[in-house]
Amino acid sequence: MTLLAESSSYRDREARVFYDAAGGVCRALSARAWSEWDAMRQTRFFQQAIESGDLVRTEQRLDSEIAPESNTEQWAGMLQHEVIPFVSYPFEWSFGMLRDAGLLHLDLLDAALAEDFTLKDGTAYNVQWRGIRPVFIDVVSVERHTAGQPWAGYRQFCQTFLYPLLLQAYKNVPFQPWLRGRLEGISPQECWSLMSFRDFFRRGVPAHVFLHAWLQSRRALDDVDSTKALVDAGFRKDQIRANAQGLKRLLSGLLWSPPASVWSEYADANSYSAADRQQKETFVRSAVHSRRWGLVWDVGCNTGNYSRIAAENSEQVVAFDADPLAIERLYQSLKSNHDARSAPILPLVNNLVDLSGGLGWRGAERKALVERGRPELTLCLALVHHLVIGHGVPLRELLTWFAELGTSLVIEFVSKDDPMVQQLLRGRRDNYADYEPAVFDQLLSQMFDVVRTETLASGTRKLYFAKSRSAS
Amino acid sequence: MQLVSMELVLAYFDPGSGSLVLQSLVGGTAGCMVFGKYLWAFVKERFRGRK
Repeated sequence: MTLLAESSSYRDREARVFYDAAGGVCRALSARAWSEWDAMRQTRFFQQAIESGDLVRTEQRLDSEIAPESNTEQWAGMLQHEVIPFVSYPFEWSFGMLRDAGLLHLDLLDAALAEDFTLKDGTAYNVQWRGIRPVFIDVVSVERHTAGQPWAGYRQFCQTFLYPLLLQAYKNVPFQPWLRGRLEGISPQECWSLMSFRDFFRRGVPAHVFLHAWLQSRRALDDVDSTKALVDAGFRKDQIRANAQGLKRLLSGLLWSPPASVWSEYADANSYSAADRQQKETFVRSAVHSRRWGLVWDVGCNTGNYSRIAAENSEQVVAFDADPLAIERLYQSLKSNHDARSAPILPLVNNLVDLSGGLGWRGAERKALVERGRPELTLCLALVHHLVIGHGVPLRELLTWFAELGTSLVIEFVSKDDPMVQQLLRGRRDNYADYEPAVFDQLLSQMFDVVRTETLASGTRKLYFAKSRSAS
Repeated sequence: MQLVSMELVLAYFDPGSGSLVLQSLVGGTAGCMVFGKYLWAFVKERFRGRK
């Protein structure tokens, strides 16, 4: 059986992630990493983290499956991990998601240190999601703590968790484009240069930002073995725990209070009548219940009302919106109220007209959206006019993209008479000749099997349930 | 106190010298003492180096 190496798992030479032919996720460990794993799996914090779901479910793989050799040594053993339903990245998370992922990281570090273990790194890429539950996936990040050692992952934690959150909370700067622009995150110097005099007096800034930037810029420190000096000066693990607990308090106290954004107010301000809304929900529910679905995408999910309907009869829903505030509200609302019998819903910040391609080493480390799982059903409601008129995407290209994804569609076409479309057309020359109901009908039926259509009571909006021709 | 090279943090990435040192300062009161000691050792080392 062939094992395929995960392209992002190359830095730590002690372990490597592979996929087996059945789609399972396994991890090959060096002799050193295996001995750390063996020690760790007997600890109380490991058992608790597995039981609570904080740590990815992991078992030793006992079959004779052997991963390809590493450059330097043979692997000593293999682990089998639970499969994360849809891989996502920190640049797609909302403020609250990044904060909760950071808190999970700190909780694990603190619990590990209590039993003389530590986390050897601190990156946000150690966390994935099962619905709205963050999961720590990098089990080989846990190893025995050597007396006197500081936490090697502190800078990574600041760069990929703390600074993005501080910028959003203190400066209202969205962190997603920045984290997407550089996978290592925001450096201490960059974060400091964005702070004003007033910010110096805000929680976390003097030590974690200002001093951090100052110390990082001292070239003289490069000549000094800081770890040795710290050990000699009496550094203890209690100081890492104090730092972790301080960071937990700091993260828990961070608030993002943004101005109302366009889409997050949409549900309140849109032109639907109650009758239209009811009719639309019934239409979507009927499509969702026409069969059992695997992965469902809700693109332009806004409040997530239809994502919740999709979750009634599917395995996994991924709800996208370009607006970080809409995703934040959906995340918080799912945290306080989500039917446990429904499929998990993963809210993600993603803009269909600004999707990231492959990023990182060879452009393969962080994968493009489509490579992470194709949907069986896509909800595309009240979005086509924004893409075609608002962003100039040709209608044919949009529908071709969906057809090539191999997804069935519940899609809404809003005519030019609708007040929302009128608003989009204001101040523009109407050269969207392709944006007509007849053209939409024709293109959709060329590429899909249209099962059902329905015009909403207001008369300007039409819903379609169209089945993919490539679906099984 | 000697600041000889000794690879103690076995990270597979650069943890940053300044980031390691800062942890003594953000680690509470006891940590501040460590930071003071570290600075003192650092100054002595620099001073010795310039003679």
